Amino acid sequence: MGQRGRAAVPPDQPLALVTSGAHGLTISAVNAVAAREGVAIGTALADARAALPALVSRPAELDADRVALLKLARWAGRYGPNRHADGDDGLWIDITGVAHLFGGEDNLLNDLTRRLASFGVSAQVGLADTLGAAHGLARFGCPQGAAWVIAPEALTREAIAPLPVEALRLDAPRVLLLKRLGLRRIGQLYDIPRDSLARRFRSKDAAAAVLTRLDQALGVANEPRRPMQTPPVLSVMRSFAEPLISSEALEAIVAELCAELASALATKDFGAKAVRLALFRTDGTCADVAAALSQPSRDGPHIMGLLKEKLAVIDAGFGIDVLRLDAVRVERHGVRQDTFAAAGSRAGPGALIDKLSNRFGPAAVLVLRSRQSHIPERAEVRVPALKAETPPPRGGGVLTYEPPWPYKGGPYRAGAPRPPFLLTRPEPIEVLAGVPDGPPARFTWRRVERRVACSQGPERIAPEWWRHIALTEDQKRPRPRDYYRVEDHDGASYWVFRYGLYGGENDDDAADPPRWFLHGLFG
Amino acid sequence: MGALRAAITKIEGHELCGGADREPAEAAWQLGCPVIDRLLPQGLDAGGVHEVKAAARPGSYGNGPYGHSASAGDWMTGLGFALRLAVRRTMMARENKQDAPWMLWCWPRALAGEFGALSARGLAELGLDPSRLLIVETARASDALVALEDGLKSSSLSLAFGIFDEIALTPARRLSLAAATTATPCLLITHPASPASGATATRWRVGRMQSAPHAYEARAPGKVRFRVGLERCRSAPQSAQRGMALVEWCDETRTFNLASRLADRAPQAGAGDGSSDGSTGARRRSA
Repeated sequence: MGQRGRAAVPPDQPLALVTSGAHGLTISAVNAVAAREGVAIGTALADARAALPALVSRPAELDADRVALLKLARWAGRYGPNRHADGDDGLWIDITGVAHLFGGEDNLLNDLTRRLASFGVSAQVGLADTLGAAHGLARFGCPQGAAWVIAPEALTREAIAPLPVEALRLDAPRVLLLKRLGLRRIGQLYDIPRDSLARRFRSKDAAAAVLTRLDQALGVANEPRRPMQTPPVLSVMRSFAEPLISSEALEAIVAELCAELASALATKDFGAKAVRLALFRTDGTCADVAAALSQPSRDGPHIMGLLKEKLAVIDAGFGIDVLRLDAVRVERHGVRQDTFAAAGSRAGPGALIDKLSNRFGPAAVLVLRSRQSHIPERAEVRVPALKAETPPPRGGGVLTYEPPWPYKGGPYRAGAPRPPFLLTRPEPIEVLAGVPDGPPARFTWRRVERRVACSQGPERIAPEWWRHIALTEDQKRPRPRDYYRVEDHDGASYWVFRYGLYGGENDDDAADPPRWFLHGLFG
Repeated sequence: MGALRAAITKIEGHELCGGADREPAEAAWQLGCPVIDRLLPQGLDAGGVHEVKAAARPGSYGNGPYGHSASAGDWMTGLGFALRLAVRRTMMARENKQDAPWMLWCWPRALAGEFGALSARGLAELGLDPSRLLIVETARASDALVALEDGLKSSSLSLAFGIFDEIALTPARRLSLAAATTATPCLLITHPASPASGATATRWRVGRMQSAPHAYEARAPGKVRFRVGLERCRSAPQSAQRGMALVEWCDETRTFNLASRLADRAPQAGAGDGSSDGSTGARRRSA
């Protein structure tokens, strides 16, 4: 693909983009006029200027180019969901099973090149069975004056045979060696036995690289490639002759797409866990709106409700001509009865979790889950509700789910009391105790002195030794804690602990006297 | 005066709320303490917003608009009372053979940082199901209000908590409407010193007392005690402003009982308590 022409330079003047290297400025890209005059990429700017004094140069902006290329790759999603940038100067799009939507491969490529030309991007397009072959065809196989070339299905071998060996995506020294061997065309490599080709190269890796690239181009070896976005499981698309501008029309169409996706999910017995709406603007940019769901859903209006709030901030620009709604992640939905619910029972919180999580972010909507530990702050975690497993309804039926806490319909009692509020991290307090080992008699928390009226405890919680086995001698070991529930004269109740013991056997205990912390508040 | 008030409520179409002396209905959302329950003949409104405020202590809120530092204990009083009201609500749902679905807890992150995160083990000890609690922590209080309103509208909750420094009239009105539409109750816990909202179904003023002596351990705190007053009651206006009652929370029966006025009495003397208020509580406890 050619570089986008800068507006400041007239199109009939030779133009080169230059980068500064170890040997001065070198040319990294040229326009069509300069190429016709014989300016080659990679030569020094001084040499090219000597041959062609009229040559205009501009510094190349490689980062901006990369950003623009990725933007274009996002836009290219309208031709197929699997696509990404190919090197620094190309795009690949997987159009498997897509071409018929555009009325055949020819029409698809015509449409693609016409739209790119309307953005001011000159492009050469190659279409083949494999990524390697398409890469070579696009760069070296386009006939003069044509914008695209197609290798007919199952005829890749013949189609790329006349291409130069540079088309195989090899690095420069290997290309040079192949040329020295007299192998200039890809077709010449076909007839040489693989072993003898390998012997010509100095290293095994170099030979393997050539053979791998050849195999990949011919479709003999698999070539994994990472698309820009997770490929969707199901997707529905709508394109318009007249670009959409008004938000009412946009919402109506998105609602239709949601209903369409919902029925597509229903036929396959899927429920969507994550959906993505891609809006392709006429000016070659693309906007994304994503929504996640806590429960697999195929409820069109519900999905629409999640997307609708985010649609409001989308800038339609010069209009939107293609809309695609993808189900990015799906799960087996199963048969679920949604209506005729028993009187007095309520719907699950799934819809509410979806709504809140999509509005405030998944980290703001949390549920509590237990963990295998007896240290109070480690024993439970707050998990985003979107990712948490929802316990099935209790009462009636077979109870297969063991709740994380022994909640048997009544208060849970096991030993010493625990507060309903735990501070995020224990706060140090200054304590005056009657006896060193006893509960505090008064303490100062957040600059206010509190006199203790009564107290309960201690509950000793030892550190988890199995987590600290690997600590070395000079690393500090966690110490046991003695927890007390104390109540001050106003009736406020606190959960405090003494960190460490008096007269412990460790050296640590002697050097570092126990400290007091406030950990929780009783309601 | 009382007859006049009753006449006005009748004119306004509130035939259901009878006199303050009628016996409370069965299986309604009540505190379990007859003296207070008689104030609310239908129980707490299951489709209403109920505000809980700690009793403001003079001189506590020196620094800042409502300065938090000295009032952590007061917040805990309001939160503790509200949590126990929620326990009563789940009990009521179970008596009515309803499943106990999810609860929602909305608060701004600043308050969460002040008083810490909800602890599952502590909630389970009170009698709530921590695995079915949805916690929403937002950066701004207005976002938490939006989340609370969404939750009330979703009709998938059995109860929603909202914890805010203060609440203006319009949001409170919106919450009331949402709660009434789906019959989902909402408990609002607001700062003790913030102005009272006029759009709630009831407003409770709760003061913290020293807890009762422990049954078996002389130096340990026992049952938690509150001084509870009903400041506002839309369904039975004559019940409001009747003064405060001293109640204590019983973890076994999960009811509020009238506490003995002689707070420091020996625990075994509870059965022979002389005062009329105390005898009600004692009888319920032994039942």
